Amino acid sequence: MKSLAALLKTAVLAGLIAGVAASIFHLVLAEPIIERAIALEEQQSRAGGTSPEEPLVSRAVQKVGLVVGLLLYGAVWGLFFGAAYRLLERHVEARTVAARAGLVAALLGWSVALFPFLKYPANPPGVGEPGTIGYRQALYFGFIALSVVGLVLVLGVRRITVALQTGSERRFRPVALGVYVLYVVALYALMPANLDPVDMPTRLVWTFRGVSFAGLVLFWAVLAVAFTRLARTRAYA
Amino acid sequence: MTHAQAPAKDRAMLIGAVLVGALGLYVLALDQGLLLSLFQGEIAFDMNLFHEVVHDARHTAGFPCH
Repeated sequence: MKSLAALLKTAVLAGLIAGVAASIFHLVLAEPIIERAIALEEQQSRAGGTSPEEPLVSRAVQKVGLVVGLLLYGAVWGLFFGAAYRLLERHVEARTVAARAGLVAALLGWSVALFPFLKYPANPPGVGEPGTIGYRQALYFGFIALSVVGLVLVLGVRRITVALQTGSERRFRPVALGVYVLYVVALYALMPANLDPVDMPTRLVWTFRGVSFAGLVLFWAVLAVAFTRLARTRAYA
Repeated sequence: MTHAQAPAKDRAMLIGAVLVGALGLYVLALDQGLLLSLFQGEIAFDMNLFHEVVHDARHTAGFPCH
């Protein structure tokens, strides 16, 4: 793609489209689970003798907020996707826009969303101690940062290998994959776990996690497809 | 535009994009009242407005929430 500004604009637009897709998906599938979780949470606090706190933002507004938040998610990751696409396009051997977009979306989506999810899976409302929020945020974003570092390291090693011409692309691949797998396994094993109690029915929690994970996969897949389509119609391809 | 200028301009734009993205991500996933406390004062931490509005998105996207 020619100009960086056009690339970033296209990427953000694709992110917004993916955000719309994720919004529809979650309005249908996640919202009923969230409602059930909040009802249970209120039941529990009533049983415990405390009246549930009056929310500042109503549930109706929070449903609009789901869409607003996922659109912001789309814009933000669309922007990072565009930046990553520009940094990677000269270094990946994928020849078509579709292949490059798919590769970048897969690498980024795995590093910042899917892999962190495997270590710290999503939870419905009612799970998570307010007192540990700062610690959990630090763990989660630390994990994302280290996950991205692993990706950059492997891509860096690849670049050096290619520059030194010590081996063909084919010989590099198993080495890179091996290094990356070791890194990922070590990161997964060494990062502290989220120790917050999960006081919700197991089934509800795991249904929510399944829906949440599917929503992430959907988002990154739609981002790649939408970007490819937009790039083609805008005749950049 | 010469070839020498293009990479410098692109680099600035990439850095700008990453900064804007980081700010957006902060509001979406991390803020617990800090940003609005600059305008609202201490009460922003109790109101936690950004958190409350994007609450459902934080949960579904897998970001840590209360």
